[in-house]
Amino acid sequence: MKTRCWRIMKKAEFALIGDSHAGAIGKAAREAGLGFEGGPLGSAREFYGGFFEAVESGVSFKSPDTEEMHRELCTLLKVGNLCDVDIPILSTIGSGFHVPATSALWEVFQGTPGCFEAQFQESGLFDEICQKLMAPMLDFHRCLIERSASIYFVLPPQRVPETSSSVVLQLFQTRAADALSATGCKIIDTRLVTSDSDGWQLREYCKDNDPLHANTAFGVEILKAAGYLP
Amino acid sequence: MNPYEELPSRAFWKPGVSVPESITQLWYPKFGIGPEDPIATAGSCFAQNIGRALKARNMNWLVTEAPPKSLPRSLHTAHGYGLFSFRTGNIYTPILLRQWVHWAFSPDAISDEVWQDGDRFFDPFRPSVHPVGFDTAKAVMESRRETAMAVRDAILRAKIFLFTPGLTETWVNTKTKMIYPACPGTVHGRFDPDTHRCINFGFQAGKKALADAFAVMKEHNPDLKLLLTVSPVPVTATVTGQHVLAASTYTKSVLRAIVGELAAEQEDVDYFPSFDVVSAAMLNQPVFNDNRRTIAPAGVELVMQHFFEGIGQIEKQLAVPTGDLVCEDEMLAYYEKG
Repeated sequence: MKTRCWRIMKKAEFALIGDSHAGAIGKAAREAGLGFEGGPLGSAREFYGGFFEAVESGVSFKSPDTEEMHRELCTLLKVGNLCDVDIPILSTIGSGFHVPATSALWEVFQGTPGCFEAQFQESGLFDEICQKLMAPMLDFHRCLIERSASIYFVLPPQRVPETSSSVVLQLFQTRAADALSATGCKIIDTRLVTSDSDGWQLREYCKDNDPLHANTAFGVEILKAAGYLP
Repeated sequence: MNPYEELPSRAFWKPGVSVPESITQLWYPKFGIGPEDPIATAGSCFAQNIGRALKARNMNWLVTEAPPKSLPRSLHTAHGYGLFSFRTGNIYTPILLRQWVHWAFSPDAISDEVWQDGDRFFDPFRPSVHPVGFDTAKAVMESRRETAMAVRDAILRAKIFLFTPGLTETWVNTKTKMIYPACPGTVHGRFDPDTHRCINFGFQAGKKALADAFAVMKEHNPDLKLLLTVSPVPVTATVTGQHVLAASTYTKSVLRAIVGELAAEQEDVDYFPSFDVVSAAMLNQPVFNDNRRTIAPAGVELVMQHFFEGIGQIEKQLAVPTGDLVCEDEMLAYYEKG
């Protein structure tokens, strides 16, 4: 029988928010019996547009579905707004780097498909485009931190769907992690454990028959890195 | 000169299937489907993916039964909202579809059967739409009527009615002749061998039920088009005495023949070959989960790519990462299994 998903099992040690990458973390936390609330609030693409507004009480999501999930999470955490939580927030919002790395977005800068013009990736233009694309999710995390929230930003499983560029994804990720650190987010990076020597997700941390997501074992490593599991 | 000489490459196995890296031009729709056209969806569990995919691609997925404001977003799926255009739960068979369409336009015919378990009440025709059951028998009936009206509303407002049957084995109440979506006693209710009987309908009965259902729909919405698919998800269990693999093959073969024949006969009926692209063993694609039954997100993605290619939304698709649908599935799985 299906039951409510955000049950209060123990006093919450952390809040979980994010895109679908938050699923593996939440499942791992459930299986470990950790006290937490939350899960995915929206899909990766949603967080690469102007997805939120800073309001007097904190943050408000523009998508009615996402805002409804936010309100439910706040109710469970007994706060008025996400900004008011006094426990750490694990966030994967904006970690869907495959979205800004979508190959079709970059074709205009490529002479032949998949090949950028010489030194394009080192150019100021490339950097500027990346900054523009990540601006909404950076603003979101900055907004939380300015209101005293403690944010752990989780780097995603190192996987690239066929329609995204692996080169752009890695370059974008480096820039995003740096920018998020600069806002005050702590970066949870398990790549030394969960990735191979080329930087891509080890098979044992991939979700079966899924081109993008991680499995619960990856979630366990995230929770270990964040200090919630030994 | 013979008729094969001028056929396109998609008509031949070697250039159409075995040589290209991926199959293209799988489906040329008989009628146009634009982003603004309201599309109603119903059927077996695989059809749930189609509604979500339409929504994800900003197509006009028609939803005529929305959850009440008081129900938390995280409980919508468990209560049967957001899976199909209305809250019927799975409609596995053409015969069950015909029953819902009949109820939609003849509310007096709606069955008054309700199952009671302790102090909770369940709907035999929608056993999965309320995880802990309704408070009263009256509430079950009110909710069922509401759903029948939502089916009616969808038929009246849709331009496309997309139906995905998945089963031929059908449980019937021998006294009332009502059709259940699942065997009584499996999800809720109690099995009574004197009242409950399984009928494994064949081609003629299934085709007639589907044609009847569509005829009623057309009577009320003459412009409506019927788009058919067949669920590629094998059957979970069979009571036919056959091995489940053989029973599943029979079921899918009958359904595939029904929808193929109906599409060939009627101008306003089309078949989208989702079953074919997933189930063809020789394609050797990783489209099933480890249970070799349910379709993996990559399989759903593959099907929907062919769908959007067919309706000419391929450019739109390229601008969106293929992971979108996979992400939706991951989110749903997280909240379903809470």
